Amino acid sequence: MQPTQRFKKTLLAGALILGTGITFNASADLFVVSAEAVPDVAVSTVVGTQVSFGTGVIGNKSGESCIMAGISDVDDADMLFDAIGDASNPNSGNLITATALTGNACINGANGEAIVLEIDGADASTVTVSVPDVTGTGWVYTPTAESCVVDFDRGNDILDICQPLTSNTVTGVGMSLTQVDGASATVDELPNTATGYAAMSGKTRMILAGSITLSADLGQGTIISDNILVQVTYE
Amino acid sequence: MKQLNTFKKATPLLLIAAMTPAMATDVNVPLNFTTLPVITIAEITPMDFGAVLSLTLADTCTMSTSAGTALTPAQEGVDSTNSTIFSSATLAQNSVGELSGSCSGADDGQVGIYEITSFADANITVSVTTGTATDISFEPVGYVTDLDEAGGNFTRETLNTTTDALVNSSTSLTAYAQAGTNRAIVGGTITNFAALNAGDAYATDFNLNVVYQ
Repeated sequence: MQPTQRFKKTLLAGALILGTGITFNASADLFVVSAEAVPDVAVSTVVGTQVSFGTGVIGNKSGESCIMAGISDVDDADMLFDAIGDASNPNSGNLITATALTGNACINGANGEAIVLEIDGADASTVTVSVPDVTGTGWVYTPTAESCVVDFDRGNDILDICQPLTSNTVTGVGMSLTQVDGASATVDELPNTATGYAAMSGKTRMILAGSITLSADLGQGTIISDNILVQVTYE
Repeated sequence: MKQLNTFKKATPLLLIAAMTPAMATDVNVPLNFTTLPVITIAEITPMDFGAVLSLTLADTCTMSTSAGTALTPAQEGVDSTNSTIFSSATLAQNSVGELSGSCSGADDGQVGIYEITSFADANITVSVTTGTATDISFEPVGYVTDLDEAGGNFTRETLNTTTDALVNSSTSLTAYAQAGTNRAIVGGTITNFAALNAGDAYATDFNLNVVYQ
């Protein structure tokens, strides 16, 4: 009877692992266990097309910066995220293509263009997001605290936060669960009465703004084009 | 039992494969900016004192940029009396060209008018320096238009060899000038460095410099 008892234990374990209703009989057989890794994380552009400091950078301002507003200026609807956590949206109607520029190295005003990216992962996953500085000849781009990644708490909407990229990297960024407002008995992803955002599950959004700091005289009428690398990794 | 044992051994391996982490993606986001355009200066009206200089060494002749004949908006590049644009502070049209000192004749001189084109709403610094003295030397004095349409203010900022004019360029196109422009109105004082000959023409120069602030 020893072999039969071992078989019963194995049957129980197999049922728990597979979660299937397969009925075993007295014979043994080989069964395939199928599984698939979470889908590779994807990043796509959802609002805006570029990070642009416009045509008003003052080329002879070595040592000075031009600072582009990001999270402090963006419409919550672009981020699908309540930045203040109170269902209000003080930046409603702001255009991502007319973002405020300040600082001594550029003409101040709504001349900048930020960008919003969507990170598509798995519901329960967390990711690390890195945006390294970009260094050109005579200038450096830094994402600053105006660039950030929305980290959904997935339990308490008040704890949702846009993690700043001040140090170029943020970790433990939670993807959103299906968004329901605070009136629900299930997991809250939106403050009570905040119903303006589309359901977003397994995703989050980030905004890229930042600053340009000049370290040399770039001259007048100089066109600068480069790329900002955004790296997203499952944890 | 052999097949069952095979299943039991294979299961952990399959689960390990399913839990393989560390998938990542990289995305490049375009980054663009352009530095402000090259500043240009165009001569709208050349400076001309006329046939008025005294022939005597060390005599002077001064052309005013605050008295004389009224400039038109087209000459000054702005309608300084427009209370719609300059709702906080308007100014009367300015008068220029009055001659004083050792100048013969009663007609006003012709001030130099120079259009500075930079970038809309840019802050610029305008300065002047004397040029090379020949038989005459010239000390420039004048002003630069300062357009603050956002604040509704218009002013004329003094310009001479010891005072730079810190001004804001226009933000939008008007009937009198393009966006991103200012005008420098320059008169000043000629000093005879030599005894002059009657009927001869004399010329000297001065430098007008503009940089972004």
